[in-house]
Amino acid sequence: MDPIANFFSSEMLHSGIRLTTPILLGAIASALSSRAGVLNLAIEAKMLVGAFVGLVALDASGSTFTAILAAFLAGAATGGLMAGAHRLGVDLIVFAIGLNMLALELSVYLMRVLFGGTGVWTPDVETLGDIDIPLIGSIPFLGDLLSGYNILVYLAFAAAIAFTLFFRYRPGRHLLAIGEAPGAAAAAGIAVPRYQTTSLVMAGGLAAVGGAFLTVGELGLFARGMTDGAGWIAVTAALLAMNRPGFLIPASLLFGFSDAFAIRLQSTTDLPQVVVQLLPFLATLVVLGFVGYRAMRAAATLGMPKRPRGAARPPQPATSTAGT
Amino acid sequence: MQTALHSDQATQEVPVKDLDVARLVQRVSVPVLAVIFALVVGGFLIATSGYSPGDAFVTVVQSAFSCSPGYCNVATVLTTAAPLIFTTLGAILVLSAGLFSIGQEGQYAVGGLAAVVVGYALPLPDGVHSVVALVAAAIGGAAVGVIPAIFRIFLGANELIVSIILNSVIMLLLSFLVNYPLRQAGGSTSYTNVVDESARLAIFDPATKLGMNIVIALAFIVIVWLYLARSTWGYEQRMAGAASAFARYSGMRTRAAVIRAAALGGALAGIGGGIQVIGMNYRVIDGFMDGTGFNGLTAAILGGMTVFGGALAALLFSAIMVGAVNGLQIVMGIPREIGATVLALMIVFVSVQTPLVERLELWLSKKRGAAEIARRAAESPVAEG
Repeated sequence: MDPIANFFSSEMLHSGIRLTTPILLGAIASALSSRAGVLNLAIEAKMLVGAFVGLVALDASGSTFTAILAAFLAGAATGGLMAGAHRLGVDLIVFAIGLNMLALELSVYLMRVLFGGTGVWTPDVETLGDIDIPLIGSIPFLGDLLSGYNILVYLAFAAAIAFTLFFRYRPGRHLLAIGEAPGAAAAAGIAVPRYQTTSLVMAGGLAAVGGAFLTVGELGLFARGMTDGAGWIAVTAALLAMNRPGFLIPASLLFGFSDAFAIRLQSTTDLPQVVVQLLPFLATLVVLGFVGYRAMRAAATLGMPKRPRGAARPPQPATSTAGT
Repeated sequence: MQTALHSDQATQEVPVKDLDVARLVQRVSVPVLAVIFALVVGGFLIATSGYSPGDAFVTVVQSAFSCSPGYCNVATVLTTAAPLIFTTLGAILVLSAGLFSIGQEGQYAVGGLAAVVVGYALPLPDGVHSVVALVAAAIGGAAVGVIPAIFRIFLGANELIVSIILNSVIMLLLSFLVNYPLRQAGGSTSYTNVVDESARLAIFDPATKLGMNIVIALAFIVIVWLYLARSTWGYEQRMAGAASAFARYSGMRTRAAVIRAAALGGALAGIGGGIQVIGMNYRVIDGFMDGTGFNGLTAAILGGMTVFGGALAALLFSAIMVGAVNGLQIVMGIPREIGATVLALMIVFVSVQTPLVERLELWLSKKRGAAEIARRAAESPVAEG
């Protein structure tokens, strides 16, 4: 009992929540874009942009608020670029591949040109402070879990909840319609391009804040490939959540905690952590297969959930028409 | 020449033939313009960081295409290009079947792992050993390559997304394998054993390791071109990608064609990994997935999804990379990331230009059509009935 309790220390829970934060913000961005009918694979690029711009702004201004705002704006601009490309009819997958590579290389190039050095840029800055919630913080176990993070952690979870609520209202419903059937949405008088542009801009900003969390919120340094694939994990997490706003938090938590669990496993035992890290990815593959299969079946049965009771099987369609 | 002849023979009836040449020029101009734009922006970036873009350009070209007795940069470009050509060909093969899989990175890694295991674990004679290693690499790559196709065809899942997840899975697995089961005993850092001498590819230039790797790569360019352009299988998979309804109605087994394309594309990317291992690195390190697969995909896009275009783009890729490291960074002190930045800009510009050129083509053909109608109306106003 004791070793197990030791293993699930409050430290591990804490780091799990922290590792979840950038993934969650990226996953919201990815889900928001998908819901607007755009497959956004440039989350990684936007995170890197946010991470770099955020740290540069922090170094220049000394204010964490300015840094996060700058990161958000830079990410939103990148999202706007993508929205413009989408309007032009650009193949966004190719565009996103280019953007990812551009963000990865250009950030390092600018870092080296502007600040010298080769591998890591460590400016003399103060990162975001942790916030202790007065009452909840003193509860033994829950306090450790819920309190003592920096503002971006709370912001990420608040954004996920806000996103869920947003889907309960008219614009959210419109967005849902656009993602499912852009043609029908346009015919119903919804301004599809405007929604798509807004979604992509917001997604860019959110993903960039996720990247800024790494530099401005946690580490206070920038290195090549800072995000380390967090953008791709975020896309995967959004897929695991089937792009449903309500599922984004649990899906991101699964990825974040599997990382934390793996780190803990590595430091306390000799077991390879790969199994734990693989789990969420394999779960996503299963979900993708399941969702795809259901969609395929739905297409085969013309959208009916299942064949009507007593109806004939497809090989004999004549009897079924006779029955009805 | 030929088109001119054609339009002569067809007299004044069908003078629209020469449009094909115009279209070809437009098609070629997309990547070429993108390269020029990217170079201009790259030059601007270099200029803003306080260096002369002209000097930088000259340095890149010099260092990418110079060859001194001691160290031949051209040879480095070719050795860098060899695995890249394979991932490019793999990407072209898969994309031409209408399967947007970007799993080349993972296929490359599995190919490398397969080759290294065969390379040090199986005692085989010279010559046979390297062939077996490459076959193992091909099988490994193919096994990974088929998975997205299976997900797409039998489960209706988006193959692009599946291939992205597979890349992540393989990255974790590679790190695990290199750190635990395959780790060299007593090694200070995480890498596998070194492949046997018998498994290594022949080398012409020891300094740059130029050898059979580029020869095999060049041979495969021709093989893949023959396969795609001249074989039944190639035709089937191209039709499955370009016009799947047509392919099905004419009795082709499109599912089989797509799965075959995915397997062959994966095999090519896998061989790329294998070639890198038995021709260059001789072992797999944690961090073997260095973007060669992704760069192959981008070279395929830059090359307009054609075999020779893609191969040229792969060569351009490695020339710029080598020029940026050996020229800009070492000679001029400009960070080498500028090379990859320019390459990324090329991809962005190509993707943006494609729809613009399509619009231009549409506009031009409309204008041409209108002019043609007007001309005919002016020539024979009585030809009503």
